[in-house]
Amino acid sequence: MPIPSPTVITAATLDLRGRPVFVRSTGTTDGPALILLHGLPTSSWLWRRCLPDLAEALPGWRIIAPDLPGYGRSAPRPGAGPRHLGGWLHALLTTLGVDRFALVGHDLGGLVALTDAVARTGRLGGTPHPARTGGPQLERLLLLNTTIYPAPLLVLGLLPSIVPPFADLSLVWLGRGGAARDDDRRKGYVVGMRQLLAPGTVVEAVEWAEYARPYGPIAGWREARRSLRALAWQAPFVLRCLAHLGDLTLPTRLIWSRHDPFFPLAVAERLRRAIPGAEPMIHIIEGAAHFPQEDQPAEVARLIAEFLREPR
Amino acid sequence: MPTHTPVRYVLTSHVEEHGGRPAAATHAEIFEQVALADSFGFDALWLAEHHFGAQAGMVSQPLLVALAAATRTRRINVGTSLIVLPLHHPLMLAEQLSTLNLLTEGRLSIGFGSGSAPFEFAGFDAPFDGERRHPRFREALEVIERAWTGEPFSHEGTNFQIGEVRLVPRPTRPLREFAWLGAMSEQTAAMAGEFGYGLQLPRGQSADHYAAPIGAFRAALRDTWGPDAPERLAIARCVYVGTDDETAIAEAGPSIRRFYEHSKGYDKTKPTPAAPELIERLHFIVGGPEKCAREIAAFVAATGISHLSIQPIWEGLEHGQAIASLRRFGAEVMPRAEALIGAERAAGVAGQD
Repeated sequence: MPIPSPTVITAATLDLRGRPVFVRSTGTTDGPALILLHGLPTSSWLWRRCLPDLAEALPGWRIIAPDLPGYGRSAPRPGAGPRHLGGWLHALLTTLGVDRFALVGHDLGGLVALTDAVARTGRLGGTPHPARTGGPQLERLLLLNTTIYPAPLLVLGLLPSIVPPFADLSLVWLGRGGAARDDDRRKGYVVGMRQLLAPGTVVEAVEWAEYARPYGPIAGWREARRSLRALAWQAPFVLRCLAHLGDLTLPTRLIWSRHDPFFPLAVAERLRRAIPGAEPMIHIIEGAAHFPQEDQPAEVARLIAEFLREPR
Repeated sequence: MPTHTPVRYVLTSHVEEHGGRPAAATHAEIFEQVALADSFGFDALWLAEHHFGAQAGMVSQPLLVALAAATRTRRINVGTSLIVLPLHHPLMLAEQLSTLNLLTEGRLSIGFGSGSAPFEFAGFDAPFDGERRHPRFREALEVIERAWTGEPFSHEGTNFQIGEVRLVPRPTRPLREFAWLGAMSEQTAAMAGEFGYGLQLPRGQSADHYAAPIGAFRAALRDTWGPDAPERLAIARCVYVGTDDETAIAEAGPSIRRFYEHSKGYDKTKPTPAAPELIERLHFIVGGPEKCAREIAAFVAATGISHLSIQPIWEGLEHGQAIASLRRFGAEVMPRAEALIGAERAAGVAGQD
């Protein structure tokens, strides 16, 4: 009997149209791909606790978690809102040589996944999605604590300073103290993020350090703020996608925390009713808040893997 | 709340033993009642789970009786008020419910309760004290919910340890489309809202007594499932409809006095009050069709319930009387009550403009 080897997680920086994109990956290097999109204001680091279970549960799969532009260790990209991130993802997966994939999106990553899935149906009008003429094809969609509905999106886009960990954003924005205050700003970020974890979830200081890394310099906060603002000014695109949720016939799974302070189960229920390809049941994770990947990583991995293993 | 949805009615039965008649007879009677309720368009039949003869209840296995009732009717949903969840293994119960959903073609309406009779718990070796019972109740519901997705799962909890399993037959619709929680405490009422279930409140209280649990339920439902979430809220009432008010009291009076004498707070040293006083005190709805309809409309207006759960028979009332009362209820009370509630709501809407 072979001795099980620890899951190898590869970290690499790719060049995508002249800008670095940071990618964490595990599993094989070919075969169907599972793409994990993080949300605000995190990075592919968010998925680290799920990666080993996913690799084990999905032999033969490529598991890829990129840092969205302007997050984690990826370079910013002008105008990187939901309107453009679908095209960005297509370019990234083409570069990686992926030909078919399942897409998981959490928070902002969920909005990107959802709007991209709609754009891929070709029903939106305007410039056709590049995947209409070939390249990586989306086969299954998984949504985790996210939204596409205007009320929370506009609040986030217009009033980021009321939402942790952005509550201190306006202060930080002033940039008082310059680089000397980097550590304070990182501490502020961690304090805000901690509020979004379920009681009892432990994230070690070294783990926080990787999350908080971009949020010392003012530039990191500026990027997060720009990303939030993009939600507001790209609202017309998002609303068009919202109107076309009824075209989403691809198999879709909704995985939701029982207690997400931003996107309550009501959002999952609306999506379930709006998306024809959605499963009849929402998968509710107990004991999880906004980041189930931190609170209940094994459960998140299990629910993702089961959906991909089911024959359809 | 949708203003013009008509109130739905539920037939609730404890199938009580009386006069030492055989169980076969009391069970046959419930089928006659439910067939009648079905013909009047009732939403559901709810059977209470009682073990070891508690409160003279004859139904220890309500899901079996519910299935039999479903085969004898066409449209009415069948189920429970309430299944005593802590007495069951949640996975076994999930299997039964999923099977029942299949066999009844989705005609299910299931209420879960945390139980109230210590000797029933003793009989099944289940902890009754609130400190253990309530967390166990919640955990059991969580297990059922997880099983209900039809996915393989395992569960490592305080009360249940379940290895990798998968619910068969695989359920086809969310539990919250037909599940209810029975509650009187604000805490449990809030849990009903959190799970997106309906809330069943017990009989025997005045409208204002229900305000606190209803408030907690609505707040939790709104917070979790949004302002547009369908709200299912039911309160139970014992109802007897006579040809007129006086006849109704004369016919039902003796059984109501008996009901009172068998109830919890009964004081033997004091004389049993007259029927009219008891009707008021126990919050029964008794009278001719006109009076019953008025009382129902007023009660619906005061509480905002979506479902009124009617108990048409109790210990001491004859089956024949209950059937006659139920016929009058369907033919004479329901149309009158609907007109009154409609008028009330139209006036309320006009008043808001």
